[in-house]
Amino acid sequence: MATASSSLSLSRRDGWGTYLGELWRRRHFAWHVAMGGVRARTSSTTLGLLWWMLDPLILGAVFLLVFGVILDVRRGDPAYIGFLLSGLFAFTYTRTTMMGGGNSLTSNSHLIATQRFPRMILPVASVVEGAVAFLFSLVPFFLIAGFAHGDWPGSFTIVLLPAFVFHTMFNLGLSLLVAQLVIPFRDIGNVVGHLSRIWMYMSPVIYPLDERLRNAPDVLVKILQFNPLAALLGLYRTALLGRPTEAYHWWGSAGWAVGLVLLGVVTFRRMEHKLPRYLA
Amino acid sequence: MTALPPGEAEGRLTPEEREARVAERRAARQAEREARRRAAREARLRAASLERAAEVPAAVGEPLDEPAIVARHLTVKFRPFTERRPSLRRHGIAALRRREKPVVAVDDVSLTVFKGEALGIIGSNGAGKTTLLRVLAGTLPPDVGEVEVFSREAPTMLSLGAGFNRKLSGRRNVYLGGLAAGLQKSQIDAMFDDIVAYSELGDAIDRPTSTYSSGMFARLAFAVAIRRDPQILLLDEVFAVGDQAFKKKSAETMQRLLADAGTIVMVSHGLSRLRRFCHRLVWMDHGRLMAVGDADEIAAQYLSFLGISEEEAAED
Repeated sequence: MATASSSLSLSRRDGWGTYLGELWRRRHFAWHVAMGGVRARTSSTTLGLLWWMLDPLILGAVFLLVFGVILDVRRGDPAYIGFLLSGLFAFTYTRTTMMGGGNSLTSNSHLIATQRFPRMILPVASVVEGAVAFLFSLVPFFLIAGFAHGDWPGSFTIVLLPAFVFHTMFNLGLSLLVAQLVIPFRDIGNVVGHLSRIWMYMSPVIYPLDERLRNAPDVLVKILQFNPLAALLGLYRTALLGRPTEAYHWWGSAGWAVGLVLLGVVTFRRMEHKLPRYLA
Repeated sequence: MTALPPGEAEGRLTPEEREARVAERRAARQAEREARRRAAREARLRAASLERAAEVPAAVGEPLDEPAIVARHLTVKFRPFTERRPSLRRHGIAALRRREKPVVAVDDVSLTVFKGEALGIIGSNGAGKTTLLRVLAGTLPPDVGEVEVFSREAPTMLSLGAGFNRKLSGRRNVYLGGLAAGLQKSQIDAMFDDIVAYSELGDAIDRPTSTYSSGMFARLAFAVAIRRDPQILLLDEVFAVGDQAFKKKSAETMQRLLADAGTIVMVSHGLSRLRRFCHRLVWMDHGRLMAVGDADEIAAQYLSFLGISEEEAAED
């Protein structure tokens, strides 16, 4: 039994050190919530976890049919399949985590109502879930791109590590920011899906940016290169296809990753004590 | 007039008289049936109340003089629309401002709960009972006021309306619930068998919880919460759960917790249970604390406030 001298204030907010320490101490919880999500999504299907590879495979096939065959966007790129799939799978990671943060809070509102823990764990878990899905999708990617054009992993694949780390940081920051908007004002959630679709067409997912910009005005080039995904996808194309990297791929990815994750974490922590009221 | 055999007598009656006689007899039969039914219902109620009294555990021990929870001037306001304003204003849509009167769910409540005490919170729907419980659990920060807990950890809150991930197995939910409550994985590994044994789920632990009956689900949730050996247990509309045998066991566990100088705060609409199990009752109405004190006294005050007699209340 505890002595009367040890007391604990429940209404005071912890400092940053305590908060981040608690977040780290609870990492198994984040992992468990994420894996629970991975399992729950396919628990009632016959093929089970195989769907995590079939899903991107079918998605890739649909895009290949529309943009590779019907619209013929490839314009002479002999290895278009690898180009399209690498962009598509990486973008899907961003798209799923964008809404995932907010969804993880609303779907776990019972946990928020009854348990004390840093609420940031839930968006973190949803990013982990998205990351697992993305890593799963690399298997069908290499199977298709490898067999189709010989795009197998090589020494350049080492770039996958920084690309994945920057991408994950960026997605976490984005997910925390979107959650802060969507939770108090759910209407925004209806718009986010459409915005992500526009964003995809503005990013070099389906067509290569650099080729298209050869004759474009300088300002437009700068604007399109400012897109965080243009930089991140540039890194992925180096990592997965061995294509040349440009300088802005590196500083763009690193800058967006660090900037957004800091902004997301700081602002989320400032609003997190209000969460139970929005979810009640 | 001499008594005649019924058949003979009726034979000599006019049709009107005969009809009246038949109606009379029918009415008598009906009254008799009614009386029988009433008696049966009374007997049933008596039996039920006896059974209830037997199954509802009584308060045990005396609360210590040491405080377990000290709450000072707690106020919680919900602003259903105005809460949204800050985010909108931040993004430049000040035109959508709405000024709605805040709902004061908890209004300047100060309260001390002692070690070894079972405290019940009563009040009508919307009185702020659950909100107060969530503030005491530390999951809902109050607008004003503070909560101090004299314990090594925050109180454990058990609310069965709020479940785990229904798509996952009982086993995974035990881990999810334990980790959410702040346990380390190794600690849950160590107490896992104990939790399953207590919940009496057996092999069903590996089935998805969506296939559980509500009683099984309640047993698992209760087992996860109680096996952690909480010093302070907060119960929201959860009393003894499961079937009769499990109810007895869970009630005994709660009594043991009190005897070990643990603290229980519970919210329930079952007034007769709260009155028997709790040392003190807190009566809330529209967020305000109306009265705190001896369980029987407060229950009587509350009932007279509602205009309900003791007998009517006993039928709950």
